[in-house]
Amino acid sequence: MSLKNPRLRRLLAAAFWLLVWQLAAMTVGQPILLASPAATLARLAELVQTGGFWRSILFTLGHILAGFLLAAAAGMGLAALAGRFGLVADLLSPLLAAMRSVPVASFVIAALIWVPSRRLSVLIAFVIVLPVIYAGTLDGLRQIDSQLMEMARLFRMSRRNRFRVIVLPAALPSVASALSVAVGLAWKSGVAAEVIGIPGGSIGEKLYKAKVYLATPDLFAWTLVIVLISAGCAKLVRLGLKAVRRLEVKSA
Amino acid sequence: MTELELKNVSKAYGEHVVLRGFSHVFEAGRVTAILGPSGCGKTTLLRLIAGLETPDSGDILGAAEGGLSMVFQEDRLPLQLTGVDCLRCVLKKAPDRDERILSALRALGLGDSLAQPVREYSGGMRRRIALARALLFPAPLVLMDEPFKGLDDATRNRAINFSRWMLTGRTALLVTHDPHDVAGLDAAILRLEDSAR
Repeated sequence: MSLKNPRLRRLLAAAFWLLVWQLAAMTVGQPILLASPAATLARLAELVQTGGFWRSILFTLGHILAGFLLAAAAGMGLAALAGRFGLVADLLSPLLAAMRSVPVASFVIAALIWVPSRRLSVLIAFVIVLPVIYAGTLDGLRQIDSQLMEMARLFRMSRRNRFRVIVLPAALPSVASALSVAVGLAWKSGVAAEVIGIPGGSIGEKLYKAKVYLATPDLFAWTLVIVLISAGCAKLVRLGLKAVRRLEVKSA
Repeated sequence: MTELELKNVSKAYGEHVVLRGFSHVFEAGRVTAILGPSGCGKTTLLRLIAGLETPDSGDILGAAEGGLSMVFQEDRLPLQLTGVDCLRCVLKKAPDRDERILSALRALGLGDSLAQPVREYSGGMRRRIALARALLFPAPLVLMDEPFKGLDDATRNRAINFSRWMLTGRTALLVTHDPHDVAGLDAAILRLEDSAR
């Protein structure tokens, strides 16, 4: 492999920063302040052998994905309504603007009054993801060519063909980019909510305990886990979108 | 056969009056060419008959019977589809559907470009797909807004011959500026500036 190979270059770049991290940790010399990559991986290797590790992952994954999927469905549904009825768009606009600008921490603390902390990450992922999907879908719907839709009505094109031939190709790029952004946001906000609400058996609880006990290698190991799962979810979203794109290729 | 009648039809966009008390009976089973200077309301007339606009007053009789098809002023093709798929998606599934599509495309001189998406077609090729769509669609009334626009002479003659064959027994309205189209389709003539305003 030569240096022109993009995969090799990415690998070397990652190795470079790992090396910087390792050297920085050795220079600081105190794992409580900065855990080294080696210490992080060693701690991760210990954690994966415990049942609690996997239960925490399942707990948090399930809650955040539930919030994400509910928000995706609601966001697309509301955007479809708003695209059709201007009144709905006007009505939703201040609410969604507020949802976008209120800090996650305020949401979490307010939500703790109403929702048991176990369900918190579902709600928080939902309120953070909803405006992103709504805006992306609404923008996508605005890309639909009204002249093509008029043609489709005149030729009595079936709803299925209208969707696959006109709506999907126009709207999908914008919806896809919203979904990709939103899945990352769901993880960041969902885990932040767990760290504040501390539901038992969640990844957030593990992060909180790592902070309380100054267990920095734990903090780093769990962070690594979050990054990996979040990337995995983003990959799943991309695969899902690829399957949807296959629908639009052939027409009848 | 569809007889199409317009009675006292008026249409204005704000202050701009396009049609004022326009009445006409279009001959059933024949092509009528609508002639007139740009901006005299030819396209508006087609859009009113197609039901894409509503008249401010007056009646349009017979347009809705059995459905209609249209060559729009613009091509209005889904650019990601092939020419064949553009036609498939408006034609009901039938055993001879693909065969009819292919023979129409061949008659219009488009036999070689079937696998490419419309995005890669020239303007004249797109126009012929839009024409084929309106002609193959099984409607007794066909509205055509400059259907041969942008075609060179040879292709234009081909398209006119194919249209004449496909329009046999159907009522059709043709907006055009070219006397060859009128002669080629043996069309009755309606001069819009005379009667409309």
